[in-house]
Amino acid sequence: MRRIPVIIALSSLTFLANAQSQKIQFNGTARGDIESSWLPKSDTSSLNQKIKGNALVDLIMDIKPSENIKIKTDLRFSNPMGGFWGQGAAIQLRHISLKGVASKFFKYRFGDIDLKMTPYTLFNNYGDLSTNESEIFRKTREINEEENYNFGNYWHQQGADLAFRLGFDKLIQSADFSGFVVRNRSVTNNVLPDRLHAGGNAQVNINEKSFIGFNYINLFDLPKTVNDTSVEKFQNSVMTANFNFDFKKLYVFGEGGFSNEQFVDKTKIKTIDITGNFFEVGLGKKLLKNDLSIEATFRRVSDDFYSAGAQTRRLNYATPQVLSLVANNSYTRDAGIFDIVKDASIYNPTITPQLMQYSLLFNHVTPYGKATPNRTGFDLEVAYKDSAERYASNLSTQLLQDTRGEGTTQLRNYALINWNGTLAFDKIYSLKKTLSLNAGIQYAKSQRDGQSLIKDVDLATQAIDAGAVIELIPRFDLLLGTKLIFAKGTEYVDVRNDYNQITGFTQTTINGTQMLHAVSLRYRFTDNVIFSIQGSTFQYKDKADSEKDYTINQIYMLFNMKF
Amino acid sequence: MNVMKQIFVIILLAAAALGCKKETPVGPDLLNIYGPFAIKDSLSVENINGVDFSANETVKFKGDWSNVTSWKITITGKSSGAVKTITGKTKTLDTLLSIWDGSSDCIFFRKEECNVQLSFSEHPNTMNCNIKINGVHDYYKDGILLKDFEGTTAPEFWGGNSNCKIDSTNKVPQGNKYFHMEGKEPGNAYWIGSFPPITAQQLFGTSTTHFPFNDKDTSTTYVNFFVRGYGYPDTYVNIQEKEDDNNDGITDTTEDSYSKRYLVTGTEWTKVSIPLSELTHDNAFGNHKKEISKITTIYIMLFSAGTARDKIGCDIDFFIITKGKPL
Repeated sequence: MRRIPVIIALSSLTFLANAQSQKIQFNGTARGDIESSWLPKSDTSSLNQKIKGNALVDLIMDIKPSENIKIKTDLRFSNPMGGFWGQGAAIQLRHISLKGVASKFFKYRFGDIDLKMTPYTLFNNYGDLSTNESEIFRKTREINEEENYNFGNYWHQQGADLAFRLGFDKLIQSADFSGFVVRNRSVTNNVLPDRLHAGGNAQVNINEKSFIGFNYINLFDLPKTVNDTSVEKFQNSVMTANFNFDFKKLYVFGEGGFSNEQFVDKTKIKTIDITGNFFEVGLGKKLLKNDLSIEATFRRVSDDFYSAGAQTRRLNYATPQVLSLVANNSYTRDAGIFDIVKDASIYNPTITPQLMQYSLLFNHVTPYGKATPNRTGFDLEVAYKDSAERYASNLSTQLLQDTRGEGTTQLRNYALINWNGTLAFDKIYSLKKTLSLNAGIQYAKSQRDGQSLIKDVDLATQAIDAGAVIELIPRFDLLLGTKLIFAKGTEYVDVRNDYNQITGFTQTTINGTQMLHAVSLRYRFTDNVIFSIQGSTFQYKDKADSEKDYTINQIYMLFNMKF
Repeated sequence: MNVMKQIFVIILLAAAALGCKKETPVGPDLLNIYGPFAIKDSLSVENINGVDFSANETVKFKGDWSNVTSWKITITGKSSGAVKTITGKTKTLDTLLSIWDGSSDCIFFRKEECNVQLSFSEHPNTMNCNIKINGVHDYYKDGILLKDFEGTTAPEFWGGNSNCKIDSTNKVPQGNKYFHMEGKEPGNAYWIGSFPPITAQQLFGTSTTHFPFNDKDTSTTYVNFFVRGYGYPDTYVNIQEKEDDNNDGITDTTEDSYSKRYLVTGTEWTKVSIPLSELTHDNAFGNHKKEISKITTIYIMLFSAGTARDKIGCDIDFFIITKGKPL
């Protein structure tokens, strides 16, 4: 984020406004929100209420100085609640990028760019418990994800990329080539060198849906950016090949590759050199005029497969921003479902080679997505969505196992089952007003026999989502939602060093619940302009120690406009 | 289509076969950390006839158990009350960690019988054995002795009151005697009493005017002593050094003086180590440049905070300057 003087920004806006034509287009978002969170009176924690709010306008300019060049900027004007007459106000340049086509052949981008490759090379996995979410929570999460430029599975980075395509008359249809380089870290304190992330992809397109691809990505240090004699260098590279063959209704796909993590120390000795591997192969079929799809895959990811771009988590569970000290000042709480839905600061913008901490309650089976190391097994996904969007249902079942024992020869067995469904009653019964229900459940279990020598691994968590959208009068909606987590059992959490090597284990036993209930009234002025007021309550219960229980209540008002 | 299905099945079977390869576990053995705890080999010492620390002998402890776990060895002198604590996190005492060189946490051991106890923070098991000290470490060799109070006559002490004396009634950190000093603060006096100046010439001969210190070692040259309070507020032990700025062999009032006041709070013996780098300039004269190579004189004083008090006092013993590390 960059701050620029107000006067220059406003002058620029005036100039551009006068020059507005098809070369310059404005769109953006305006938003005002107020949030008040508090602990119940029975909780004597010293900080038991937090109020915050903001008014902001994101002005997005798409500038087209010529036919082949586009510049996009996102200028934010914001004013925190209570900052009268500009006190605390800020102008930030949140995004600037330039893209174009050179010689009618090369596509290029500079600046803030969104990048994605495959789930094993460069992939921003969705946040925990986001797939089954009801609308009342999903809308808040969408705002937080937009705040952090998390669109789909793309990583928002700063750098440049280039792509071009070659067309062919015989054998293959075309070949796509792309490459990028972004800056992952700047020189820090003249000790840590610059770190770049670079990669490329070559894809041979046999036809519209069938291809063979090759991918390479590398996260590496530039030691000379510290001083001329520095040689310390970290590097994490991944090389894969992938394919997809489509036979009308049936398709076969797969990917396989290797990773390498290296560290060269001050004496030029390679003290770390870890090589890992993975492969995935799958089969899919579409039925019922593509309304029903079934996919079955088998994958094996070795315990030493490290891929920073694919394993970095979207959410970073640091100390929560809102009311972190609870239960009569007795402890600082961990992030819960309240925070992953509502807290924008929990999002992680930086790709990191160290495997990040995750919560055992949310998903301990695949915390790093498909690229989670030390997993092998089957995955079956069945998705149905009728063309009239009356009902939809998704079922995903993963049965996995460790590829290598951790601290023991015994292997863990895992199960991760996800189901969600939506019923649009208004479309089923041709009602004039919106009436839809959604529900979802995630069941995650890990199990390992301790052979009566150590405690068994037997952790099971259930996450339940349910919600409804009821249009009471035209454009005036009632939204209801609940999110529940039940967790019980024992697991051994890996303790890893900076190179992801396991150096120890922490035995953790959990027995508790988290419950988030919310109700909201929303008025839709138009499809792009809404006002809502939401009340929610979050309860945390620790069945092993009731003194750790706490409750957080919240009122949240939001005005959001897209233009 | 059938060919493709067959190829897919072959790929899956190959994958399954590759996936079945057994590998050694990764990470430390869980049994060592979380397995059932059992003592394999009880606590014992190799020195069954005792140990002579004066001959640079050491004590090696032995013991084995099933898990990597936190342990603590506590050695207590049965007549001196001296204590030495050794801690570690291993599954055996057969490590460099569990060797005792005769040092203590505070007051020194004597030629005495000692009790040794091994305990675990995460398990209730404890084990005991005994070790006899036949010879003690010669601490006089560790540095430059300033005061040890072992003489037959009481040392000269300026100021104070009539209760200033040699004593041995209540645990002695080193040797057989310590010194009790006390006095009254009438208000704004600060200085309650002190020993006469200790000069380099007294310790090293008339031709040596400076203490044998190096300026580059200021932060690793320590004044060490034992002190025990009586709960009297505002009791300070003041260490002062005077420097010969102009190198003429004598120190006068126009030259640098540095000091540090140590507040006495505990009512049990405490071992204090003050690096000379912590002494601060305390007069208006001199070149204001700490040069420990030019120290000619050291003072040991009893000080107060200036507030009127009926009694200021403490016990002290074994003042010694060490180089490189604290006592």
